[in-house]
Amino acid sequence: MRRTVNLLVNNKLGVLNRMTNLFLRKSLNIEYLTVGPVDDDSNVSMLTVVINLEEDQVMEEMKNQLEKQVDVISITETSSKSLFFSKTYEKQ
Amino acid sequence: MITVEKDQPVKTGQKLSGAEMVIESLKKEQVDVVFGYPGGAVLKIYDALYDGGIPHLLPRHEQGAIHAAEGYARVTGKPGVCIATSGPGATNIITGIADAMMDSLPLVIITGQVQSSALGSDAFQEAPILGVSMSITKHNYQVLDVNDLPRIMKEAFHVATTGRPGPVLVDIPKDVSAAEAVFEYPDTIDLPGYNPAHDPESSAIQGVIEAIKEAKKPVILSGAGVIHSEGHEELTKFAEKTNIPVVNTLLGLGTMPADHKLYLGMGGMHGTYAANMALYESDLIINIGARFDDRLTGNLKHFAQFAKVVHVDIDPAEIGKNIPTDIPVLGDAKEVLTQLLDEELPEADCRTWRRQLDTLQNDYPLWYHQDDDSFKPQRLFEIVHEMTKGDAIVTTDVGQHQMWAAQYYKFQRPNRWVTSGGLGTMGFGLPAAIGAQVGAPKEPVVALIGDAGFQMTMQELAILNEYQLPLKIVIVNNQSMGMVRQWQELYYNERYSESLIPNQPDYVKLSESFGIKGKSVNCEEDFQQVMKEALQTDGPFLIDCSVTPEENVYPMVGPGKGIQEMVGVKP
Repeated sequence: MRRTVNLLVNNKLGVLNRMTNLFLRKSLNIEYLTVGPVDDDSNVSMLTVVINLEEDQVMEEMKNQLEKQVDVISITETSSKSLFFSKTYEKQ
Repeated sequence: MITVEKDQPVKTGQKLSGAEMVIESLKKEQVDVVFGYPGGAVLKIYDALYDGGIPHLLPRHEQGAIHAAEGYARVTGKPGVCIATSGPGATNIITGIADAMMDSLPLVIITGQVQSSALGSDAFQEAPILGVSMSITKHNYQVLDVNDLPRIMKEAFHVATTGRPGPVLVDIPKDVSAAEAVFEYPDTIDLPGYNPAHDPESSAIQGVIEAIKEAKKPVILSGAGVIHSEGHEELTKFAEKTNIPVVNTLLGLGTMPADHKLYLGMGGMHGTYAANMALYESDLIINIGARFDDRLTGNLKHFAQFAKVVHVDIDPAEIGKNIPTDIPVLGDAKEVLTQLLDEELPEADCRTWRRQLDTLQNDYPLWYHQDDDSFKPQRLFEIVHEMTKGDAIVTTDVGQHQMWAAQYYKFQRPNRWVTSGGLGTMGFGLPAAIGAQVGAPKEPVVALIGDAGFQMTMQELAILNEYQLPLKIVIVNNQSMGMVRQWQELYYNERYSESLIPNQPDYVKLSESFGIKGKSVNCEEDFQQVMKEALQTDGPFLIDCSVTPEENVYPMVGPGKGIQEMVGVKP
């Protein structure tokens, strides 16, 4: 199942690396990723990660680990059907 | 350059170098000792340190410095501070950082870095420590503007010591420690993404009470979270009021006095049979501040299969990670226990259960065969316990000697047990004992270390006299990596591949070369006598004690087995 994780994070050096490291630690391949500031002079970025993962339990663990990070302000997860780019991805 | 004179307070608006800011920040955080090793990229910081204000210990390897900082943190509950230079200095402390992360020890680590203009150029002594340490720190920083330094130092101490404690690394390029700015140490923290405090929900507290009312076979599992939160007295009261027996994790030893009538011993791979059977058969496991680590649970398939699980943890990521939880209680262990004690706590209806466990305790005590020809290591640990009246600070490495210490040293109170639990680090024991002795200068500290692990960090003998650290070192010498040898005996057809170390140094001469009194013994009588002498000696003392080389640690949960499938439970 494709899952989309949306993270509001501090727009700081190394934060992307910090987040992707956590996916690596759980051996989860990131299939799709976007990152950018929420507005022009914002200190906050939206990071969107799409992964292919069946187990809800692993997803829960992943979210808990992400949530623990000092640089993560909020986190939401949606199933693949609710975001257009994951649909786009599925077409390929 | 403005020089900060010893104990001269920094005036508001005064300009300081980045290096001086580091020292001033440490003073603001009331750091009373720093463990570190100088080098090119931290010369500025060491120059600022030269003006005084904070005592500094110079272990002879950065690994020694970081393990000492861990030992200090473990015994005092205060953050351990470690400084290392860039490149090899920083990479030498990696093991200690990972160790502190696993065992939730508060550390603030300052590493030097090459000039910021040279970052990424493979400059001399450059290592990308920010990236390297990212996955093994609670948080880390690279300071690229000296104006950020006070805030980052403040945040580093805050993050390291709040919530679930952990190591925080601050990487400071050379030019940043040289640059000057006005030093203003912030009073407040602004970290919107970091909310470490959790108030336990009253519904969860009520849920625990209801579960206790229904339980027939309840057991409390207490871990290091109880020690970090200083909730050991509340734990004992809670157990006594509810009449529920207690199992400790390895790192939870000392949360309940070992001679308490409700205490079942340590659980897990080399725990007592009674403790493991209690966990296995229980219908209610109340886990307070433990993380259901695999050495405790054994095969997860069998663990807690009949039990309702209560999990009290300050870290939400731990709840449900390894074991499904019926009643999650998010919060500080002491806080949760206090709230529980404020309620009308029921006494659990478990007379039959208690009787069953008493029988198991009586029928399956820890055992070993006495031997006329060699000195049994288990006896050594019993003697150390007897001679120190169970009240020494004990440090170990990892392996057989660590398990025997956990089994036979009966801890009466917390913060006396300094061991590498999660990471299982050989070479930890001696430097950790140094840090522990620094943190508790008047307390007896005994480092119980295997011969293999001792050889990994034995250079730290060099500083015992220098800093007047009177610790007593006992090398439990079985001329092998005992636990590796044990597994090869049991599971690898006795093919002792690279685990035997017949060629040993002369530890007595070695210690004498560092000006430390040393003696070698190989029987119980001599050990009794020499240990007595060691404890009566004002300074440090090393005992090289030969023990039965082929002795194994029992009882044991084999690899892949459930905790109820212990072997070696009886002679």
